[in-house]
Amino acid sequence: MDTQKRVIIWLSALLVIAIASIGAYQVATGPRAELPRKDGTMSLALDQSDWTKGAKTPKVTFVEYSDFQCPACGAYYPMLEEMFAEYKDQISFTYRHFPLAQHKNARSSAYASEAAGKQGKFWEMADMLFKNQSEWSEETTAPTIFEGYAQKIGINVEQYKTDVKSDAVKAKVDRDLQSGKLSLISHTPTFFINGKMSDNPRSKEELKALIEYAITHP
Amino acid sequence: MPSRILSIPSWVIWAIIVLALIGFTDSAFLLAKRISGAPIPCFITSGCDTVSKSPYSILFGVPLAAWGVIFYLGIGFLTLLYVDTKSLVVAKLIPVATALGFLSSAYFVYIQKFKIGAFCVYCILSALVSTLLFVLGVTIWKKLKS
Repeated sequence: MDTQKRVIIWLSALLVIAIASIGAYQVATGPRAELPRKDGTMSLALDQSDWTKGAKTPKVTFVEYSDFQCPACGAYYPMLEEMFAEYKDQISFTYRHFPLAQHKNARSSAYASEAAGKQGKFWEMADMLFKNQSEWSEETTAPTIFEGYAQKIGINVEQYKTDVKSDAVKAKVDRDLQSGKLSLISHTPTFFINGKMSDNPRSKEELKALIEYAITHP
Repeated sequence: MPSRILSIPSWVIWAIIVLALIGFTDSAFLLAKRISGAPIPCFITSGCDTVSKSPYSILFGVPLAAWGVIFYLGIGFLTLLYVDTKSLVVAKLIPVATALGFLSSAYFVYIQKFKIGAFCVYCILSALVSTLLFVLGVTIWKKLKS
């Protein structure tokens, strides 16, 4: 074998080994993708960036993954409000976004609530969105309608218009959505009681029974 | 000394090189995981971390992953050396090395099954690769005998 061929063989071997080593190292130390939770627990713990209301030291944490345009979420809204009013001294209530792809205004409504939240009126905007769900759900001008809501709840509309387009607002909605996917949410609304996925209650009574049970069985 | 012409089929050579590369990458991955301390995601089997962090994962003070890297590098090196020199001694060393790898792998599978009770998919891959290498080693051995 001539020298040139030998050099080529050994050099290619070295190159291949170097590439394989670097590849293996990169894969081994690269950012770890979080695996979905199959046990029905919530993938992302509650933190400061969440919209949480109610008791400061709650006996029960109640988290809703929801979509402002989803009719079922709208139907649950009064039930959840009533429950919250009754138990607000004992529980905390957290809203997380899970905008479904088939709802064309799901994302823009989620952005609207986050932008209102920048001015401290997240819950007020959420209330407007759920109560007037049928008014904007199928409208192409939904973002304009939301600006009207912003005015009604008394926030700075110019500031709102800037915030609603901001990356921070989008990032927050994406964070919630991603955490919901990792929790293997398959429908909206999905509720987590003390971090455990709960079956959707079919009535006010069932919802209250769930809360009562969680309070008495910490 | 008249050199005997020995012809190992080129597909055997290629297969050994490819397998050695797979084994090397697999071991290098496990070694990198070990050095960085990152957990090893497991699929198909469960307990990659249990296996890779068990006391059985160190031999003579060196992690098994490192031994794997050395072993597969060695196999690859021997094979290339044979391609380069066509040396009979080197050709004899290949089956010996693959037998060593096969026996070690069999022992590691035994450890995983009966001592740890968990399997690590990357270790099983390595065991498969060494088994295939051993089979190829046997074909070379037969050529040498004939």
